[in-house]
Amino acid sequence: MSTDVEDRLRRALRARAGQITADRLQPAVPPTATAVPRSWRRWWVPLVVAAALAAVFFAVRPDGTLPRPVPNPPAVPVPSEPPAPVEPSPAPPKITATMPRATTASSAPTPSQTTLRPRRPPATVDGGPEPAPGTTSTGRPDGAAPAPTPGR
Amino acid sequence: MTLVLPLPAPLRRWWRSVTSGGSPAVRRTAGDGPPAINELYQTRRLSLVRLAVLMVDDLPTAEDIVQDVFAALYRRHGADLRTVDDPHAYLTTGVMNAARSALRRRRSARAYVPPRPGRAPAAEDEALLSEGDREVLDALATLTARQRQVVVLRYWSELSEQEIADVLRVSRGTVKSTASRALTILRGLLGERR
Repeated sequence: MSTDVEDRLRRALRARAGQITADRLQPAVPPTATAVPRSWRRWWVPLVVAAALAAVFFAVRPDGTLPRPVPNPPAVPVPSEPPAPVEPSPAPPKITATMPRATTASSAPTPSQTTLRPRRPPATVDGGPEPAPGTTSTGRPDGAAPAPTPGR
Repeated sequence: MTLVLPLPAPLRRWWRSVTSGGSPAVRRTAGDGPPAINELYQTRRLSLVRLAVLMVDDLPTAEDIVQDVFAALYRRHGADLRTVDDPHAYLTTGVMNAARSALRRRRSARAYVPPRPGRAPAAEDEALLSEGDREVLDALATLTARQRQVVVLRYWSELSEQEIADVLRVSRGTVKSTASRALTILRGLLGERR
């Protein structure tokens, strides 16, 4: 029974397929005459891929971190109010005028300067320009008066 | 110096297809012969149209299916077919998948609109078939698309179960069970009509 069905299947399929002959088909049109290959299949595609990979490689640090953006320094130092001194602080032009005198004072240290040496300069606390090492400035946080300049 | 990267096979095939530049229509298989895909088209077109006819019943649809499969092969792999491991298997699989899709679309459409007269088999085809063959083909049309694929590949293409599984991309057990169910249905239909 099973063999009979299989034989009948083979005969019927062969007969149906035999009806299709070459002269019944439409004129042959080769695929190269109709289809268009993909436009991206070109020699430059691997180059573009390699360039993209190189860009990614150089953009990422070897440790896997992205390059840290450089912070922009403030264009103009923001003036801040100095801490309230014991004595009223002079006007800013006077501060610049006293700077050379403070430098000269460092050459002849006074006892007050010796005790205050480990302290941080107030200019950095206030955000102003940092004085040169060994120099002093007005507006100390402890309210100490500036070292008296020897009257020379 | 050649840089060798351990790429998986699909990626290697893709890379070869990408790097096979130039004008595909100009590339030849050997010397000055026609492109490989055109040779394949000349030698395999008729048998593939017959295979498609056994699946979808009418000749125009079968021709369209075969033409589309060749066009897809050309678009994907170019004219020289260097990147295709087995072009014959590729074509058979493509025709089978397209025929299955056509059958599904047709059956979905039949649920809403009556069949067009043009879809009926040609009169000359009917006249050349014996009564018994027509019975078998009518019974074949009642099978599902997958069952019909398995029956056609097994009893016309004479493929083994493993070859059918490779073409249809299913397991061998699926082929075996599908063929068994299809034969049971056919046996019942043909036994009742005899």
